[in-house]
Amino acid sequence: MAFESFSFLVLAVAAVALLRLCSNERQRGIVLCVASAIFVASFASRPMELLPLGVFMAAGYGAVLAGSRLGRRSLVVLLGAVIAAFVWLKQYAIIADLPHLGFAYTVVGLSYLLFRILHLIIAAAQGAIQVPGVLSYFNYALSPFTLVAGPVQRYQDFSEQMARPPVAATQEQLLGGLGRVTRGYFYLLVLSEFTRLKAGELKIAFYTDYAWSAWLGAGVHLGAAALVYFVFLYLNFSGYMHVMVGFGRLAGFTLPENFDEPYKAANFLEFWSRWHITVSEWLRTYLFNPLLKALVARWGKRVSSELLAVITFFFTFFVMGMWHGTSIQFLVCGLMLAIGATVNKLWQTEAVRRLGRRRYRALRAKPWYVNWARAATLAYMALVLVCVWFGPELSASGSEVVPTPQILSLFGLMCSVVAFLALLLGLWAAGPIVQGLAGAVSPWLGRLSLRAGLGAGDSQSNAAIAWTAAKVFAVATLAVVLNWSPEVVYKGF
Amino acid sequence: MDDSTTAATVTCADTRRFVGSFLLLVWLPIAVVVVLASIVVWRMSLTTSPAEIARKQHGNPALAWIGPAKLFTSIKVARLRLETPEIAIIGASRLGEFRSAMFKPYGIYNGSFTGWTFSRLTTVLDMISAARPPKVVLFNLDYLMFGSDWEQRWAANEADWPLEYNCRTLICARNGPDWNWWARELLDPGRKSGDEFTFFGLTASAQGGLSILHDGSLRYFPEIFDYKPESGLPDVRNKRSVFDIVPKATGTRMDPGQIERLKVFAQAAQRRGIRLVAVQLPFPKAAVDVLDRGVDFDENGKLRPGADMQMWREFESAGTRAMLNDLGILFADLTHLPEAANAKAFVDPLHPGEYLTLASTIEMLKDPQIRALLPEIDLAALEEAKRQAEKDGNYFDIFKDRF
Repeated sequence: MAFESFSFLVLAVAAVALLRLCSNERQRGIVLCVASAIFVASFASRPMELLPLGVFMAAGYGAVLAGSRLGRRSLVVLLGAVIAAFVWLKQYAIIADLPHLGFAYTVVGLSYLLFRILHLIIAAAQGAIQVPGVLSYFNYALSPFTLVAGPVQRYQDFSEQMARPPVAATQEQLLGGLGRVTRGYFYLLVLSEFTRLKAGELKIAFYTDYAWSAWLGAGVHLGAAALVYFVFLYLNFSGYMHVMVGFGRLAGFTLPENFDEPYKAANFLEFWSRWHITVSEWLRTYLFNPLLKALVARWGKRVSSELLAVITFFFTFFVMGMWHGTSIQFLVCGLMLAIGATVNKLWQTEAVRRLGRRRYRALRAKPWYVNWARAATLAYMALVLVCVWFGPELSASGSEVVPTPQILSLFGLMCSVVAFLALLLGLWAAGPIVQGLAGAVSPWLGRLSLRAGLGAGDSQSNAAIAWTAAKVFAVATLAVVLNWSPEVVYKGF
Repeated sequence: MDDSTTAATVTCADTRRFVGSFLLLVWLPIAVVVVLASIVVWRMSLTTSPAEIARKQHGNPALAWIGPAKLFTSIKVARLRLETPEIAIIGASRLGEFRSAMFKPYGIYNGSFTGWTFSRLTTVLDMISAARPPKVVLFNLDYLMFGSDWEQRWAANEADWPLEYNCRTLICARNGPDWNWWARELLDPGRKSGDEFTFFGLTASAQGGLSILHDGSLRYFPEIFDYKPESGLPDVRNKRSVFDIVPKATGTRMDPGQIERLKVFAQAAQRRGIRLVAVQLPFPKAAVDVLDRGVDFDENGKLRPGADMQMWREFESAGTRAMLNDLGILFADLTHLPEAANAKAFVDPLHPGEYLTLASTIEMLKDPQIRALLPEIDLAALEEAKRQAEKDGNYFDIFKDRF
């Protein structure tokens, strides 16, 4: 059952209605468990395909139980074993000759499952949580609201919300939740698919232009494709998040947000505190902080703390890139993320050293500096994402494969440099224009919202209900008429 | 009544109201959309089942079905089941120009567009041989099909080309937006008159006019007949260079998984007593030259050293011929046909036109084993038709409404 399918909509609506009718934690647990089981089972065409996931889940629960009784060293070995099992099941292509089970099996949501299980093992070992019961464990790990592509919720938040006594549901919650869901589907079914098609066209244009004689054009095409794909990924992933957060809210849960206007980030490190927030926080809690602490304890007297922080950033971002996928492309992606984080941290350190904290803070407050830094961040991230989409492409007619150029060459690097410079200049120039437009349009949108009955304090009006129904109708109509078949990209990560 | 009971009652009522409003707000707008869409679908005759379309076309050779190409598969499978022909053609769109007139006096139906992967071909073979299996099944066997990602890539594509369809499949079919199509169909659905055929189904605006004729062959849109290549051979139908027209496969060797799938397909045919004839129809000569030479050669004179070409050489080798022979597959490799040097004979680099398919049929029938299977075909008549087509410069409409 694809998340973006009509079947999922039916499942989610039914789950929300039933969860709202439940009067205690046990009932809610059972409803969520059934919904999760249906959702997970839908990814397999025969039961055998679910077996590895089931074994991983069971082993994960065993590890949570065992972890709470083990010493520090044994715990590290246990975590290593869980990660090794994950790498094996995902069949990381960069590790040669990994033995294969010999049959197809589903790995949907496995990357997110890994983070949840590791979180449970560590939190239970640290005594931060009690070892969950089997039903709670199953629901936390495989909830249909978070399985496919996150968010990575803390178990404490999940169990606290499950245990919360039912409260009267308000119309504001209803309209707010439905608003998020319709917005998410609009992003996913319309905007993200449109940008995906455009990115595909630009990608083919880049491939076609790929020749020594056309390096400038190829570079510009690469930059354009990279930017449009970046926009697509944001719309696609944030659309998914809107739907999930919306359904969660309708069901009475508060799921953590994964985005906080990442296009406003003033530097690379800030970008990652606004993009895929829950994974960033997980990595900060369970990788960056312990690693930095360990490095300081071991080398702190001989090496400066700034350098140790840089090393830790490099490693953390490299792992983040690698976590996203199994192929060599994600190795490159991890390296590029690591380089981006390292350069950013070194720049900050050096700027503070040369200018002093006060002058550096003043510099960071200047609009021209913010605009340049933002353009550089977004341009670099767009290029990092080239690793994700670069590969063979079907032609527009779908009848042939457009060949993939060799980007790992001198010419490929030249194209990338041209693409980066084009993006940097383009985004730098566009920044003030977009800000100006946003400033002009916002009040108008606010007035429109108020008129439509969406203003604060007016959410219970008939106009607000009609407006929500109209939005659902409009999105459903667009979905039928456009008949596009989008996919949640992060599902594959 | 104490306070807690009152509070609980209020909560229950609120919850019921919440759930009721939620379901209403979601399902009422969606129900309205579904009803409207159903009216549109009905008005466009899309509720006509593939079996019904097959029956209509069976009874009237002048009818050509025109509509979204993604429905071709289900319509052709329905027709193959209805006709139970002696010779069934199944496979990719490359086979689309085989006409029944080329195989007279045998009963034939062209089921191109029914499958791209060996797995799908096996399924189609199952479906069409339930009642009375064909004696011969002709399918395309291109070297591309042994690429390592072929199955995965085309299996995803096949999901959009259902073997059977109903209203739900139609709503889920992945067609891009075409406002012109929607508007015209709503205002003027149904039949259109052509030169030789009466078109039924959807109008030409749906898919550029690609239609299915009575014998299952494809009739391309009229513009293709008037196409004039601008700059010689490499420019086969708007492709700018040789590099663009070389059919490329993924991987360095013929994928063992694909070979296994081909074996499964061959065994399925053998079990039913069906003789398999595989054809690799022509690619543009300039492209085949690149594959044969396997040297660096791109639009500026250099093509990357070809992993693809290694696979090509393996496919063309005596070893592969022996393997196909062992599987009981007669193989006609038509990629070196001299007529393929004429760019005008192609619809695009992967799709030979009717003239080139006729030339391929003649060449194929020169193979003694294939000729022994189909001895009654009048080869001289086919050669005469080919000569006439060459004389007229007619590459796409040789047999017209002769079936």
